Amino acid sequence: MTVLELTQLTHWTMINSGPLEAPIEGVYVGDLLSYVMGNAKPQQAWVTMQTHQNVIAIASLKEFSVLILIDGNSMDEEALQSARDNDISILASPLPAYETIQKLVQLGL
Amino acid sequence: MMIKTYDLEANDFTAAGSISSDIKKIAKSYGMSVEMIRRVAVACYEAEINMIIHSHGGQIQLNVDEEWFTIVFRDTGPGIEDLELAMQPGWTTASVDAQSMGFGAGMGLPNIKKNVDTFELLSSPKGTLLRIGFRQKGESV
Repeated sequence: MTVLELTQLTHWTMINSGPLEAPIEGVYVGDLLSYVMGNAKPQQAWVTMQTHQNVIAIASLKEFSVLILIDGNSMDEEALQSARDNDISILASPLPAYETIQKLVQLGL
Repeated sequence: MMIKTYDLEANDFTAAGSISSDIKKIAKSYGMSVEMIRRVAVACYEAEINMIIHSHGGQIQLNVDEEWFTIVFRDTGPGIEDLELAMQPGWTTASVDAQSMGFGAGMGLPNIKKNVDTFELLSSPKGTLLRIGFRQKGESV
């Protein structure tokens, strides 16, 4: 599944658009950044409740396909600017973590 | 032989990761394998964040020669009180503020050690020196 397909299937708001044809190879869920750095894989979708600017640095260094925020969270302007600079796709799920992940599982991720 | 030096300020969370990103780009430009570039990125990021969270600031120096890609992180204190404890997964002295941002999981140094070919950590109250190396030929780990 690509980032574009995930966006169309979930109707979650895309608050920043990176490469839409990027394939999503699985999902990693985590808010402790060292666990994300140590365990997540490139091209995954990363689900997190962290919304600060440093999340973008991690998404870029780890080469995630898309960042998924939960609970309808968004990011401040500095973080969004960093997302634009680094070409990182960000989806905002209105659902809590469990339901967000449930939806991703339903979609086969 | 190539040498590049970066200055790093303490507590500058907004810039965190920018030096690691630059080093990752340089690793790519040297034609390193994708796997090794990923190891460089993880180890550098963790070390950069450690300096931002825990130190008074310092310098990061990248040295590249034909065989080795070496990065030295040198700060001006306050030092790591107990190196053995600091290496234990889950051990942290990060502030509550840093932890609420998802930092300070106590996995930084273990993550670094897991991803490098050579690891040297020296610390005193005057400063900490971390030297990590990646062998460009005959990749291991």
